[in-house]
Amino acid sequence: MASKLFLLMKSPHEFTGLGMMKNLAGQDRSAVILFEDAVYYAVDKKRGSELISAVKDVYVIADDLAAKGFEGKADSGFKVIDYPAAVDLIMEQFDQTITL
Amino acid sequence: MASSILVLITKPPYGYEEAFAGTRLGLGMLSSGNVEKCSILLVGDGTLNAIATQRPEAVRMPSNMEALQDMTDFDSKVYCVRSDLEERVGDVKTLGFIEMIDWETARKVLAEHEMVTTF
Amino acid sequence: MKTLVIQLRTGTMMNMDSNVAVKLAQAAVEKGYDVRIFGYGEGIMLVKDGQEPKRFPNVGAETKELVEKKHVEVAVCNTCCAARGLRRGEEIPGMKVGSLTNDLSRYVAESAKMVTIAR
Repeated sequence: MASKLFLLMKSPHEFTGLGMMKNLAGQDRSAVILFEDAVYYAVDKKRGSELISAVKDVYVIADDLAAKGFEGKADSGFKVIDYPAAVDLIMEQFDQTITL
Repeated sequence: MASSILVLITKPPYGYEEAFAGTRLGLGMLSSGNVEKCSILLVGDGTLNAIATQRPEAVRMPSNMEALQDMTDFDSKVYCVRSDLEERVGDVKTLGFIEMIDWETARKVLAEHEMVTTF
Repeated sequence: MKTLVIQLRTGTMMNMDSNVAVKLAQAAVEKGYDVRIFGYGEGIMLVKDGQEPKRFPNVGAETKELVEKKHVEVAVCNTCCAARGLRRGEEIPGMKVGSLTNDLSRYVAESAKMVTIAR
């Protein structure tokens, strides 16, 4: 089976595909990178914990988090990364990249 | 160097252009000769594209049904997750050329392709 | 070195998707990867020459720099351009009004990974 890296841009209140994400991931190694409005997951206790329980690792793009006023405020369990780290995840760490 | 790509369709027909555009992408890959394998997997709201009684002429839209069927001209497969469709609209008639599958099979289909693109 | 293909389907001023695509491309080339960008659907606007957004980042100009200095290849779907009235000759020099069949399929075949930037 293939390891999967999900990319998410939608806010926690706009994104309705968490069940789909779990179904796509199955038992395979999976993670998600949060871009743009999706970074609000990192400060949304309820939906953030649901997301963390769905995949192995959750990464947050630092500049989007800072732009929205939450620099240094991501809940524990969210790994704040820059674009070079995102590229490394995409190119080297996972088999497939799936935008939801 | 990828030789296979899966088109994952998550949007319903005749509203968003996505499902049609995803199918056109699939046809482009298959007709190019550059990509050996390209399949389509309907999931979530994308499963609504499998319904056999669609009448796109009612909104003057091109038919997603015909676009999907064109994939079969290249011996390519179109899959649909049955449970996602049933969850949305119950037990409805689906297009005969579409293979109705469960999530476990869908994950196997996913693993058969190197790249995935979402519509 | 491995190649990354970025498929962009959002217009330049709709949201920050185009900025994300450009930032991923910039980071990838800085790390030594080759990058291809294909604009599909609303994503064709990336190549429109003469973009002059006030206060917002100019993704057209940033992409042009990637093309000129980092050998990034950029093409967009000609059918999508025709639908939106973007004519050949209106694209930024060095970028291509191309097709799924001739360009995206080649990008897929040349690339190790694909990222889809869309909503």
